[in-house]
Amino acid sequence: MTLIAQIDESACLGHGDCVHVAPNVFILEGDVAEQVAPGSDEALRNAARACPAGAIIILDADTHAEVDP
Amino acid sequence: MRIVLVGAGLAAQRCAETLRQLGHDGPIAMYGDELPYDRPPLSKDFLKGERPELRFKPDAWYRDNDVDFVQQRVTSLDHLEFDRALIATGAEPITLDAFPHALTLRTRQDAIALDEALTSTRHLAIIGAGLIGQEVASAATARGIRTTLVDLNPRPFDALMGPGGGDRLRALHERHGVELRLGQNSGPLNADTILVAVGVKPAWRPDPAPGVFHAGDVTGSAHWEAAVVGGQNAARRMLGLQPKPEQPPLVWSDQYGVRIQRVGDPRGATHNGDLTYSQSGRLKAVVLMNEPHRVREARRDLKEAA
Ligand SMILES: Cc1cc2nc3c(=O)[nH]c(=O)nc-3n(C[C@H](O)[C@H](O)[C@H](O)COP(=O)(O)OP(=O)(O)OC[C@H]3O[C@@H](n4cnc5c(N)ncnc54)[C@H](O)[C@@H]3O)c2cc1C
Repeated sequence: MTLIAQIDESACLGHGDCVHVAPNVFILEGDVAEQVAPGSDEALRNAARACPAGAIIILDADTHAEVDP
Repeated sequence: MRIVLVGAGLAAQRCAETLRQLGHDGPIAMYGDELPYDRPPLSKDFLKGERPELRFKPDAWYRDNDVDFVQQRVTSLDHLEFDRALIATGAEPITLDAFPHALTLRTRQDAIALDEALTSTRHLAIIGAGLIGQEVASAATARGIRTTLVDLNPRPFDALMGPGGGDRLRALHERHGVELRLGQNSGPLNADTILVAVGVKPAWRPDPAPGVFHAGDVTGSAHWEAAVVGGQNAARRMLGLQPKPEQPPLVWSDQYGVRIQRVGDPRGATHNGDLTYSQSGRLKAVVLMNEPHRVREARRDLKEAA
């Protein structure tokens, strides 16, 4: 795993699309998303791309630099 | 304090969630046709034959959070007992007398009917090139259906893409073979299925009264995010709290595999040529096509410009 995801809670509106595409990785806690398990790079990228609100940020696990999903 | 939510949709759901999160422990009753569900998939996944879960929360959530769902349409507040009420009845599609047999798309039932009609449709005509008409055109052409998209407005794509910015979306429709009839009356349509998607009108709402709040499509907002924020802020106001700080609004749409995200409000602003919009030198809106990672940056730029 070379990527990590970060959820921007001020931007997340609880669409739930990350839960649809990566059901074991993300859940809706109340009305914001939360990552509850590690996900493959592919799962994290898919979740970030699926988010209509652009609230999932993908970072390089080593450098913590933001990368394009 | 007794709270009544009229209309069981996105805005009412988010209002109920926020009320409980903020510690309101009095009764909440939610009136509507069925438990709240999500509409955007109806013009997207549904028309690809998929049937994703639409309900926001399972039955248990309403039980655990003591939200009492009453399956009933409300036509007057007179007989309801409440201290605060939310009107979140949403909106209804506008129909056209000239097309009495046309379909519309608002509910899950509408989407199933349209999906079924499309299985035997050779030529689909869509009256109204707004977000829903555009998404249905995208889904229908993907199914190999000849599609005609009609709008009286010569530049209907500007509504989503911003004034003067609709050309790239228009080109996308043309590239996928959609026949566009814009800026004119439809003329004779020999389509076997007609969808009327010319917009919505607010559903039932009572006269203004103290303690009665409004949120979502019934206010004319017509977008998902506005219903969420409106529902959350109604909850806050009911409890005497300040609304959340305003964020640049976001609207999204999925067409031909392209995710369009519009951050900010381009109305009245001038197109800078790159799908960004400014007014008096100030950035007002940014439209992105398949660049979800730039939403945050757009939001930041818009906040700085505000
Ligand atoms: C097909 C489709 C696709 C969409 N796609 C997008 C998109 O891609 N992006 C986007 O930003 N937005 C999209 N939207 C818009 C978004 O779904 C709406 O803005 C949102 O659903 C509004 O929520 P609401 O709670 O105000 O209304 P609704 O979700 O309509 O809920 C209102 C509820 O109130 C009930 N009701 C009505 N009258 C009464 C009454 N008198 N008594 C009791 N109950 C009543 C109704 O049955 C309904 O269930 C789409 C909408 C549709 C229909």
